[in-house]
Amino acid sequence: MIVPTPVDGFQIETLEGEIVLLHPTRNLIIHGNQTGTLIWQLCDGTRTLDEIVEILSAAYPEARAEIQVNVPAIIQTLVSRGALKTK
Amino acid sequence: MNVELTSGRLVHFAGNTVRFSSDHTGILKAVETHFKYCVGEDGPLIANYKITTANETDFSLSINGSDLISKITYDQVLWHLMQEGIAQLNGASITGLVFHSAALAHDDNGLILCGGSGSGKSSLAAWLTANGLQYLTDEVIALPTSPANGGEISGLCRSIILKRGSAFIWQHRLVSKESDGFLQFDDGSAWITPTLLNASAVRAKVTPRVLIFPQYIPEAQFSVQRLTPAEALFRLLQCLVNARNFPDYGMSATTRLARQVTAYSLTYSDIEKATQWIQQTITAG
Repeated sequence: MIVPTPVDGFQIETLEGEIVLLHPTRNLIIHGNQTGTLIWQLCDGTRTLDEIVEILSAAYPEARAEIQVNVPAIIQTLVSRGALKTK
Repeated sequence: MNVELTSGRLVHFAGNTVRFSSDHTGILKAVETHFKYCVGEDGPLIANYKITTANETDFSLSINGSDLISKITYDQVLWHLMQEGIAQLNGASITGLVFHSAALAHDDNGLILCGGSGSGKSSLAAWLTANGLQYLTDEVIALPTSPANGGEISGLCRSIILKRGSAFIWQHRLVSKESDGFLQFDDGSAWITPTLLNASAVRAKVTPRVLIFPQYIPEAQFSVQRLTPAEALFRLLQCLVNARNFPDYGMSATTRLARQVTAYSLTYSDIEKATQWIQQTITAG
């Protein structure tokens, strides 16, 4: 069971539905488009990856197939960039 | 030669000051000419650079009384001053966020060209200045952390520094070259005083309206992409020099700037075409 959780230490700004994350001590800056921002906001350390996919699939049923492929990939990208950790 | 130096050119930027002084009249004259417009507001003296001369080809540079480098040429002295002095000013500022950017103005509309070395911001600044825009800087801007004054920016108003290819063009375009205002180096690069391109060129402050991230790519097609405020913020943060001086690492003031401007990315190879588009955009307000 994968539970994506935000890594501590980020400064966060949201502008017009898009997020910018700044981790000053790691010199890391990440921009998320509206989709990435929505996924980031769901990764609060309480939901599993499967639950996040299910929430988004229920909200956007016409894009279910795409969500099932893309959401895990985006979360994996955020993990590899150091913005999320899994527990 | 051992000369006590008490005078020299004070260079102000972003709330701080450095001093360049020398016993060599040629160095002093070059410094006076190419930092003439770096007047700004007085701030604490954070570095005192002294250049002493053993002979016409052997110079030494010290900072705050400590030897920095010796046995360097006239050209190397000037480049050291330009790079070291500006780095000191950029890193020390606690009153303003410093971004790697050129800045110009058309009436009350400020233009920021944001990008690192090689993005083409100095070349664009030269062309836009020659075409009538007012010049703030080709290298770094300072954005006050306080939201007062409508988010006005200032620039390090040094001479425009052009690399070999770009300098070559101006060498042939400038009909009335002043010998002092156009300083060409052995590697083909050049320093050009902005007033040589446009007599009324210099501007101290302006409120930014348009933010462009230029990218010069040889042979590239001209292309422009409108950026969202978050995309602009993301890119601005990458050009922020002194983030560590601020408790929030400059996030809040940079976010204000990103919200305040209309932002674009611009890819170009034809500088005249890029200049034309930028002028149309900034004059449209």
